[in-house]
Amino acid sequence: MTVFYFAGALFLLANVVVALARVLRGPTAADRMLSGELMGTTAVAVLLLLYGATGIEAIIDVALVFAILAAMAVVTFVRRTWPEDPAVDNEREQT
Amino acid sequence: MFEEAPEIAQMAPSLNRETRLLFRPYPTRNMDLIRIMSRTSTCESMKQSKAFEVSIEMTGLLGNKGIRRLIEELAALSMRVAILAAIWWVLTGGNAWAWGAPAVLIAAWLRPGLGSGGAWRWSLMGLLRFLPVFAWYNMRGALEVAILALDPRRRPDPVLLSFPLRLPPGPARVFMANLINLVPGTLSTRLTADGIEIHVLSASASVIRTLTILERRVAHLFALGRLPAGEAGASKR
Amino acid sequence: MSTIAGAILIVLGLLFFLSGTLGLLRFPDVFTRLHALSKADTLALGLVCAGLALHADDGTLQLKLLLIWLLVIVSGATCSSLIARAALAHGIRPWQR
Repeated sequence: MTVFYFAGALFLLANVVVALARVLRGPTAADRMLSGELMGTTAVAVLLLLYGATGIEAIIDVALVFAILAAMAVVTFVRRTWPEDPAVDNEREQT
Repeated sequence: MFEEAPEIAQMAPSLNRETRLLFRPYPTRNMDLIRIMSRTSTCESMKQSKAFEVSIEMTGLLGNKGIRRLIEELAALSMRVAILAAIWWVLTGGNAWAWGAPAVLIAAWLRPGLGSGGAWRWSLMGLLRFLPVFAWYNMRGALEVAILALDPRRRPDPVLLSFPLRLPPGPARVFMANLINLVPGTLSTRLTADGIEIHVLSASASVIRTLTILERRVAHLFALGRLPAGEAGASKR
Repeated sequence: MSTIAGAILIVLGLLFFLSGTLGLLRFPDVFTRLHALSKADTLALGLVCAGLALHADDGTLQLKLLLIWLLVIVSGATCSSLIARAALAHGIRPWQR
């Protein structure tokens, strides 16, 4: 069973590596952020599988924290990095 | 509290669902209902404390708004304590109450991040009826998107639609907007004054039907009773 | 028995993760990609959580898995709308056939 879990975790890691292509290609910042969202979800799944493989319960708590952080990342992105207010955008272009 | 369907179901098992829904928004009629029930003694649970609370709530026996509000607030507070305690219990695996109890109480009292939006009403029955529908739609949504992604011959034919909502503004609409992202082929882009703007993978009647069904379930979940009549329909933007 | 069922659920979950990634790479614009992520990934994680819950024998652990899943569902759904709205506000028009 341990092998099964590790194989699953590896599969997900490979998955994320493939998804990195979207970060490279873009074209918009939102597309890149989507990869980030995918990575957040995948990280949670990888951690859960690692828990299955090792049986260390603390890993579940780490997964929980990752789940929260992934949400934070997207909210921060939308609010700070890519705000909807066009005035802010113009400001950035000028500077 | 009377707004919640299960209690009405409990107190009036002989009534069918439609009648119960009819009675819900009208306190005085509810009181009549209770009277009728106690006279004909169709309902044993009237004698229990819950029903007593309900009758206070409904009839305003105390005649004092302040006391009624206090009771309501205490009920909401104890509900929050219960939910937070459950979350703490899950997080810690049933240990660490020395930390947990104060944390739960403080969080329930201060309500960080929730503001003063007032208590949410929801019905347990509505939740039970909502969950299977949600699970089914979520599964179908994921399958459709997976097929679309895996099959090179298929291509999406997306379009922006505006979908008028019959739910009242507030938490129910926000909930609906989030829900739309999880069901087949729809993505909510923004809330408008009278509804919601959605991005649809391929416009079809089944999408509108799905959303209409979901909207009704959400109304049940938030104990809103029946939605105002009117055909659901979407228009292209 | 529950071991096998759990393993099947996990494998299904992994397949949905894969389809989400493929959607992310193959779909034509940010909105359609959001569709792929918000639906496929939440269900995928749900399946992985369910599979692990079948393997676990501790009650609170299963509830914790449920909590993680709920958290990811809520944040995933909210974040999808946030990104979609921001994209529209930035003048990105949906791709049309």
